[in-house]
Amino acid sequence: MNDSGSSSTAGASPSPANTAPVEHATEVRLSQLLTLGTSISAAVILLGLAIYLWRHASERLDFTAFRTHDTELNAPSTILTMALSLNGIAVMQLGVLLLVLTPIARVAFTLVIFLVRRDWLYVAIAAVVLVVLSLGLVGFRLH
Amino acid sequence: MTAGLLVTLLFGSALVAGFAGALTGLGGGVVLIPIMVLLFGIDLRYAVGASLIAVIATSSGAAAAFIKEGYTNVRVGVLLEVATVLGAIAGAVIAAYVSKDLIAVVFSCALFWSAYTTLRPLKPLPPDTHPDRVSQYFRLDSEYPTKSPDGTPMMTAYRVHAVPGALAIMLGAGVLSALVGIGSGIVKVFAMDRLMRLPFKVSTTTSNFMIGVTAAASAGVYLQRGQIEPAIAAPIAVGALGGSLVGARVLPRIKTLWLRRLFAVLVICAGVELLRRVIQGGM
Repeated sequence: MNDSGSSSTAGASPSPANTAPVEHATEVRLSQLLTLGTSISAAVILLGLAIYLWRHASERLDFTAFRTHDTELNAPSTILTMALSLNGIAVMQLGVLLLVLTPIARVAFTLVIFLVRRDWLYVAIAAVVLVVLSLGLVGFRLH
Repeated sequence: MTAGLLVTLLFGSALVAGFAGALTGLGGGVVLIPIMVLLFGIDLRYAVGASLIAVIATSSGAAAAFIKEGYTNVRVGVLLEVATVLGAIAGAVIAAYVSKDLIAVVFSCALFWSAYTTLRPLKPLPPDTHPDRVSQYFRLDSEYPTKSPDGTPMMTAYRVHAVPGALAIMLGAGVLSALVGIGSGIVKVFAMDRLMRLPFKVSTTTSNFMIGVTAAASAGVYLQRGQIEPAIAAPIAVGALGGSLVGARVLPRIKTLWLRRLFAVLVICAGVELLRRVIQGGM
């Protein structure tokens, strides 16, 4: 059983105490990526909310019925073009989209970490997760 | 309701849901959906879409802290993710051939039972327990932060057991979440706690780590269907994010027994919500 990463001298059996510090240092990078992703999306959403409420705060909203034809904000490309013209609703949706991308970026980054460590078993595992996730995001119809 | 009021109310609810969701590893959707549907009169399809966003926000927000502090077992998370996403596909495929109502009723009974058993923790395995073969192969054994009897922080090693059984249950969790759309986090925590014998805080934080990915997997489909309504999802997202950050700060200080109690309450909420949908025909 090979050990992870930098130390090739470790001859002892892989007890948790041996591997944990090295692993933990790389896992903190994952944590930083999540902080970055959530911060950016929160900032974009808050900007969108501010623009939206500035213009529409006293407008009446009704979501008691689902509107199937209200689909202009369902595709990433339209969200982006509308957001760039500072449409409040579109900026909010762009932030939400960035939030959805955060866990996917996290899986991709996990894959990179395992690649760098040459941990092929987990490279394979993370790759399967990433492929299924990407299929889900491009709207691969499961139903 | 005016936009300003709705945004404020949604933000406040998501704050609570994100807090509870981050602590329990369940994402908080089971709290949010009934609030949105029953109190604010929002259509279930919008509520489900927004709750998906809340789960992603809670998961990503809290996971950053949990990983840094050393609670999350990233290997266990990544390994179990495979089974969940594959299960989700299987569930979507068989969805056309089974009665969702029947499954929801059976599952809600299982939820009430699991709420009861969660309150009765298993005895921790002695640290010198012989290592599990499969767990060694995947290098899952790890350590997590605890406090020594005199109150100083320390790391405690633990072993992971019953990996094949847990993978099978994760497949089932994926199938269930695709069929009834609720409770995959509950099954995850339950399997890690009861079967793999992980410490409870490791189980909840590792579930928290995974649920964002499970939710993101189906987000594309929900977006296409128009179920992600920005005016609902945006305040929910920032609220859940804020709540999850508070939850992440509280987790190291909360007693495991109280965490189990909170978990049991949310599990009962999920069971009731499932039955409510069956009765109202929203499955």
